[in-house]
Amino acid sequence: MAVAVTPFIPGSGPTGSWPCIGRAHTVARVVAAVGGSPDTTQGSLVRAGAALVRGPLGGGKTRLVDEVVAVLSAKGRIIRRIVATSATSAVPFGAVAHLLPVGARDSADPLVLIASLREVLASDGDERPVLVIDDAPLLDVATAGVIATLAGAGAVHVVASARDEEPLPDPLVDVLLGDGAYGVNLAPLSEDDIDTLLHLVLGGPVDGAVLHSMRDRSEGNPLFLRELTRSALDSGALVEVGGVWLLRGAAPSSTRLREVVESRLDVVAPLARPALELLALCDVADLDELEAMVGLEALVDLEARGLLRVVYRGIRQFATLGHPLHGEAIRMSLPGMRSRLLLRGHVTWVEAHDPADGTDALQLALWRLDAGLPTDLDSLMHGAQLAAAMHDSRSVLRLARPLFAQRPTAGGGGLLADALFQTGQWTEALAVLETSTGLPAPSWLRVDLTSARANILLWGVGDATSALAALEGLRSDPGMDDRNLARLSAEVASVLVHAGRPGDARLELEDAANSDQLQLMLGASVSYANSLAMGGRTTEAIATIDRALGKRPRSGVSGVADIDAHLVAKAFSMIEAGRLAEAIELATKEYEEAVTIARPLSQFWFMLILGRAHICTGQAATSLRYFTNARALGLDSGLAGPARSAVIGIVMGHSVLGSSAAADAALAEIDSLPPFGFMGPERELAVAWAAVARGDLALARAVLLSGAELAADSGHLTSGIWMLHDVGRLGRPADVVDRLAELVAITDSPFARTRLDHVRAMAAGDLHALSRVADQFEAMGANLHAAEVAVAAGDLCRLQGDQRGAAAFTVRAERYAASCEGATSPALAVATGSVDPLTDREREIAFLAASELTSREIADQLFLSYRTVNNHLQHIYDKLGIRARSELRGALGLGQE
Amino acid sequence: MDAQSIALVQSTFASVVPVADRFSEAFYAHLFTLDPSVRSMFPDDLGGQREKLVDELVAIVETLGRLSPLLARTTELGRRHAEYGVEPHHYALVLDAMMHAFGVCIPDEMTLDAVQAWRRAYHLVAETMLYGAVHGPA
Repeated sequence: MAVAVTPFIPGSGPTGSWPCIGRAHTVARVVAAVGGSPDTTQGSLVRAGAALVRGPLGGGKTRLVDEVVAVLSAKGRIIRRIVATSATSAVPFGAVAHLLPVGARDSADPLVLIASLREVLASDGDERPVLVIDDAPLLDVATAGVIATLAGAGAVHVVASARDEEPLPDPLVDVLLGDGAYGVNLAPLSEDDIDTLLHLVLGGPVDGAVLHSMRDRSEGNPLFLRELTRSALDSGALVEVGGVWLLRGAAPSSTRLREVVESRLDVVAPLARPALELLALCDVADLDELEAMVGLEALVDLEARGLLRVVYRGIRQFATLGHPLHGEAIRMSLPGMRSRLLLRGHVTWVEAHDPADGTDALQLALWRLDAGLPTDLDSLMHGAQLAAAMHDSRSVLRLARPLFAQRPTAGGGGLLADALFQTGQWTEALAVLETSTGLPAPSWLRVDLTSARANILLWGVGDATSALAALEGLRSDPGMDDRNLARLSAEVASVLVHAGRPGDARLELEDAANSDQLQLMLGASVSYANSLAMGGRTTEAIATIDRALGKRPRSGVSGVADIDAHLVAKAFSMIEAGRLAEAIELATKEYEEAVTIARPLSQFWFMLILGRAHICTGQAATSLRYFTNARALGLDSGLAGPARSAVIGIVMGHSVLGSSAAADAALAEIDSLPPFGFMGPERELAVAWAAVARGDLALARAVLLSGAELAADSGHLTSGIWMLHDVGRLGRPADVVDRLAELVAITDSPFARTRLDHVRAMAAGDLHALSRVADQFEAMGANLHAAEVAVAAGDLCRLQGDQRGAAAFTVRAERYAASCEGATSPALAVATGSVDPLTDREREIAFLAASELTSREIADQLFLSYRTVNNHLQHIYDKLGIRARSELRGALGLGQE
Repeated sequence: MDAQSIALVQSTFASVVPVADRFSEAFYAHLFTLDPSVRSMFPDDLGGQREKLVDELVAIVETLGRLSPLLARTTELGRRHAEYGVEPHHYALVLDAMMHAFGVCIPDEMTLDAVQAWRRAYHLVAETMLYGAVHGPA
């Protein structure tokens, strides 16, 4: 029974929407963050004006966003609201399917879908619409990607809400946490807020005992407060006496929000309950359907209790639950067979009543699936292909798994296996491929399936031999034409590169990579370039990539991964050539792009590249950060093998930063990872530098000498040259100068050449040569090396009694070392930095950020990349235990402005 | 805010009415000290403005126990203030200035209970004004 209460503010009341109390200032900030009035956004610079409202479950996020929408609408802004839900989160474009025109929704081409979604979300006039996303963490990745692109292009502003601790979809991270984004964590309601709120919704003042009871139980959580109030009204515990509201008898005893919600659901008449259960399963349902289920009076009662809300889509009326928490509570207590029964009824109703364009075919197919009904497998296949094109593995799994179980085809198996591979489920992926390989398939698909199998064997199982055997097996099949043979050859070469045999890979591809046939050349270019770069033929490597990129249009979603592989190879080749600044610029830009479009594998490779580039520039702390992040992402993405390279970098980073224990710990981790051939000989670099950190230079040199031969034998010439150079740096230039000269002679890398010059100048004690080498390293940005050379030159001057020369080199050495973030090496005696909780750099960035400079401005001021600044900020937040820029001033003890 | 608080607000305000001129002078002086930039939102001659403030407070305090007439008044007041350019953060300044003016005029009556009652009453008025600023009069 619902209790009648005197009305006050229109539309509000204990069972209606409650007024938004105590949030006016926050609303104003959010409105300002997305530009306020339309006239203030016109012609403004491209700037991702966005706001993220975080809060606990029931913290009033949706209510606050409603208020923001009201203010923006009153100012004449165009609003488009997207409600993300758990039911749509694993369906590509699930959250926006109802907005798309019918033709676009059924298109197999993701580009058509994206184009029409842009059309729907971003109007083509001057005005920037505001996209309002409720529960952004539940947004499907495909929609998130499109929204990120629109926001990045300045076509829309974004206001999003998110429950505390729930991660945002990757594409939205930069939009909602980067520059131009305002973030707020909703605080609990104050006692004053609760007093005013209850006064307004009950239509009269509340007694002090009511206030204290409600405050203590709800702890200022608005939803909790609302549920408690309704519950107390329903039970008759809250009553009006002489114009004041008092508590009579026991208030609801539960102290947990979920329990209060459950107890409120418990008192719903059994007759009305199926309506709530259906809504819990499918989010929204036509009012007519619900009325047919439970009758109008039951619906009226549910609405009066605030458990059901009416929403409009076009001219049709639908119902949804009062709060997502109601859905969670109901789903948790819903037996599986009951869900099936309800969905069966739902599907029958929708198919009988819905106009043809009313329901997404994919959504219907999923409901049929969950209802245990024969389903439209073509819709599932179509959806899975779409999801795969959008790199949404979670959705592919949701769709392709049942599809493959009901109708195993080679094509469906390929999609499923790839998604399983992407999410690290090797065993199941291999089983699916096993089944798929036995099914009829055209040659190109058989190459796809076998390549997938080889990739899983190589990357997942770490078994390069079996991977090669699988590829060779198909290669000997007489049914393969030239084109497919070439594709197989490229796959073989890729396995060889990653199995630590770049020399053999180069031989495998020599013909194909220089072929006039475009397909042959494109398929071979990445592995060929990588093998060339590892072999020190960096100019050819870069030319190979440029030629391939020039021939390949950078459009079409499915080509992205391949382009990234080319760019990783190019940046890697640049590092090996000593073009460090260019490599960093390229990799930073592409890394940010990979984050934006949510490609974790590309992110991993670009981070690995950035770690390597920064260890070469001597920026030890930055390098360590990239390697640490790459390691985490690599392990998380199932790339345990390649993650070895990151851990090797971590050992070297800790070593030059003087942390022997951390270097040893990382070294121990290397051998705990599965064996992996890619850049394998560089493991000896880690062993050697861990020894350096312990002060055991003799062991380090011995390891490096044998490691260099291992590297040279397998085609890792630049790695071998690096190790021999390090032997020189560790004080034995004469021991390596001849061997180094032999290796450098068969490369074209200026970096390798300068390493040789360095060792030669040291061995000869040639001051002029040292000075030139310092210049060369400086020109490459290899400042730790440059500093070591200047220190050696200074020592030489002192030995020769030239104090002025010595002083000049010391100044140079200090200048070079200044950019090395506290790195030190045996050849360089530089005191390490402070041991404050924040590093000097972090403190500098923290204060700049607290003075309201944007990350971009800080990056410009400190000559850092935007990404680096944000990384620093993330570390600063972690160390200070804060979550947003707005908390920085307080955390730094600066007080509020 | 219960019946006692409302009574406390009304009784303390009754003591202010005889010294209303002093009250409004102290209020505006303190408000402009807290934020000099708000001075430009008022006319140069504050005489009329000071009378309006007191009249408005009299009316609000009188309707405190009756929500409907109170809301009709405060939501319309909030709508007008938004038009004058008043923003949410100004509301905290006004509370400070009012408490200061009470302290100047009736220091002995401003007990902890009275301060609390006024703060609650002000919160109700301010929040409903802010409601009116967005949604218009109730």
